[in-house]
Amino acid sequence: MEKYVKLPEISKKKEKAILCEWCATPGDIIHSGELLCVIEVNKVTEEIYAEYDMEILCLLIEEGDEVAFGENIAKVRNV
Amino acid sequence: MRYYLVPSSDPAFCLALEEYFLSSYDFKNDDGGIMLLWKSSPSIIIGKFQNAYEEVSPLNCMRHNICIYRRNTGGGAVYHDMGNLNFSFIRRYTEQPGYNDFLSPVASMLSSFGIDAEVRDTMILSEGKKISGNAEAFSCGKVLHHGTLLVNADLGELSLLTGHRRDIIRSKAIKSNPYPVKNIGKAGITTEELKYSFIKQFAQEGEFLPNEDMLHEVSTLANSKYDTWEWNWGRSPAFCLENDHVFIEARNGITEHAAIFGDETEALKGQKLTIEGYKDILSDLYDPRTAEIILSEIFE
Repeated sequence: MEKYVKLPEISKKKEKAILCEWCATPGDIIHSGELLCVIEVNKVTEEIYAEYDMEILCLLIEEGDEVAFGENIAKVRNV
Repeated sequence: MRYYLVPSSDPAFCLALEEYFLSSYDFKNDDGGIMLLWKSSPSIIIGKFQNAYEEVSPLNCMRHNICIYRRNTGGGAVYHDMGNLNFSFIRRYTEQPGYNDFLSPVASMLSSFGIDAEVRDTMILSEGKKISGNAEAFSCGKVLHHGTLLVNADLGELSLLTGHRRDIIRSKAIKSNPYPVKNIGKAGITTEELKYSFIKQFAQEGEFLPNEDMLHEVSTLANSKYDTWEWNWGRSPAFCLENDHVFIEARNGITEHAAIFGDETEALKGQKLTIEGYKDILSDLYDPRTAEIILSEIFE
């Protein structure tokens, strides 16, 4: 089933982060607990991990772009 | 929390030590974590997702014999020298800590020296000027919080080498936000006194004693990552450098596309964007004076 990965709400003080690095590309199978991407907010780097096994279908945010907490960042499929 | 007075002033080793504790070291549940206190030889430390080419002038750094190092935390470029004391706290967490959790006790400690110290977001200010810049990384249930503390740093070098973004470069990299700075050493405080004050304030669990295996692992990480061009320069996000004479697109520090005086310059394609490499190629293509001007426009 296709679904979207949202950027989890990490910062209580900020509304947006910069998605600095994708650690996956379309076609990759990412297992639960594996690193998906790294964001930066207020001089903090934070790793975002997959919450379930997934195949990456499409990355919706480019590296270096701002993204709101709760916004869709990738289209994936359960595996 | 335990403390470790890092005996090395090599930024690569110190940054590798931080990564070792953040990523590899197994803190037990009742372990309060570790505080590292360290000083670096003169250097510029940029944030993890910054563009080194955009934040500093490579030629200026070469003239001043300053190396660039990329750290693991976010934020902007900072200047280190032996008059600057760095503090790093690494520990496990259950509820994610904020800057204030680390900085309030540091500011209180500074106040005990009679310093006017006020926490503002990620900084500690004294009389409206920054005396400490801080950044953090969260990884695998652990937090790394580190900060600078300007005691007797060379502020002339600091202002010469940082805070001048090169506006001929466009990228999506994280930008530095320069802020007026000052030293606290004028109040008669030394980095040595501050070290012992940090220990008294934070390290009730005593000294951490590293073993040989650990030091070997950290040295290996320093050599294979923090001391490499690939990490410090090559990890710069993709960028475009453009002025009236030069157009360069680079990714991972490698030239993808170069045009000089409007002409495609195939010889530069695929080259590392380094002063030495470019100098050799430009010297083959142009007379010495023109080559020098182009080199300066790219790297100054």
